[in-house]
Amino acid sequence: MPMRIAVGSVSNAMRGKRLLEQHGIRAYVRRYASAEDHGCGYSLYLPHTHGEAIRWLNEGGVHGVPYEERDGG
Amino acid sequence: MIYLDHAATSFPKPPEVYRAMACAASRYGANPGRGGYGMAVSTAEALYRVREEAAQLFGVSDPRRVVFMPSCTAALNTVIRTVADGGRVVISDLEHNAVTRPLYAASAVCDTAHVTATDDDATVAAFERAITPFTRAVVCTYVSNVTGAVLPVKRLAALAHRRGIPIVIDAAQAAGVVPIDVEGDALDYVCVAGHKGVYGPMGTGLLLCLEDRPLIPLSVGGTGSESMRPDVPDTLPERLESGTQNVPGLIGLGAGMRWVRRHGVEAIGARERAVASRIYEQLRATDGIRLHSPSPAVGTGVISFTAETVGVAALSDALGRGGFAVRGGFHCAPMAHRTLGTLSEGTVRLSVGAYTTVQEGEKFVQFLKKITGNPLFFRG
Repeated sequence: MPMRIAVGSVSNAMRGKRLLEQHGIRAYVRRYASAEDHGCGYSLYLPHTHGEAIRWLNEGGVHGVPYEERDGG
Repeated sequence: MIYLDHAATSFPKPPEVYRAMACAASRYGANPGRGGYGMAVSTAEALYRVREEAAQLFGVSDPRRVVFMPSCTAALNTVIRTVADGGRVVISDLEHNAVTRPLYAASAVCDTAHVTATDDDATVAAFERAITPFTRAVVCTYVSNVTGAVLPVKRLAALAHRRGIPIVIDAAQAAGVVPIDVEGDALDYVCVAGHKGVYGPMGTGLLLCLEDRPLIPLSVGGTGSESMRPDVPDTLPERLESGTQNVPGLIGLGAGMRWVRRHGVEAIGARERAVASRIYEQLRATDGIRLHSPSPAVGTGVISFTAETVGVAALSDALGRGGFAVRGGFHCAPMAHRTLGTLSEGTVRLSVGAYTTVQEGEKFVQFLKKITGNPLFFRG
């Protein structure tokens, strides 16, 4: 089950990607848009859900918010 | 031409800087931080690696506190506008216009501390006397662009913090030449020129922040995130980076910083001081030459001098015609010339870089002796 985490700016996304890589988690930087979250921004896409990802991001100063993506279905 | 104007801008750059810029122009052509397709993300990642490179070189643990700027001047304007607005600040008596003019524009009142190039205790004491309960910040250069004198910024930062105020460092002449440790030395704001001692191209600069504090941006606009908000994002670096970034320039800067890290700031600085010291000693032994810099052994590779028999403009012009790139005049730092007593016409300044050789220095001194020893050279 993939996991998507909104992190705001592209710098947050790059920082978050590095933080997760340090814990052996592969993450991809993706673009997202949500009017509820101030508009455009970046997210981290994790191919597999990881329960500690949000905590590790927060500890590294990246505020991450998990979200669901509309899949067009 | 023998290039001795590295304090204005370093030249040439290491070959990898030119290669990185050329590569960036074709490989990283998308707008970073805007799109989500492959090249947009890879360009953003390439720029983030530049932040990481700067963070490692300058002792910043979070690369997001490395802010890209078009120049050191823009970085200084950004910080000064916030910290000094209409208040009192303490500056040194060697400041460049990149410090004094933003302070003037911000209607700041400046209290000045005298720098004693050969006595750090005296310099720190002068700053201590100048700070009052009304002082909002200390703003000072790390290395004088006129004399090469090095200020004890770590001690000045500690002093400022004891008095509850931040310190802003103009590191235009220091970065890449003397070690800078933002977090280790608790330097609140460090403003860096990308095109001097870190061998990036012109049009690049950095603002290094000890913490993510709410600085007022010089310009606002698109940042690629939080686009529904009426104002720019709260956090660094995006808060201060509206508009599209200078991708080829910044990637060139990254290559320059990588080159500096590979060779070592201490090693580069020591080599420049050794070359400049040879020149300095020869000039000191030359009749009619007056030195206005401390020995490079306690400064950097910047040497200001004047000649008894010929004016600054004529001398620098003659050196230029002789194939030596030096700068004459006030070097955008009239305050320093008031301090040095050279306010009437400034100084001739030579400044060495990482590639300057002892032999080039000797050729310079020989030519200088030849023309200053021959009054006929300047007639007609």
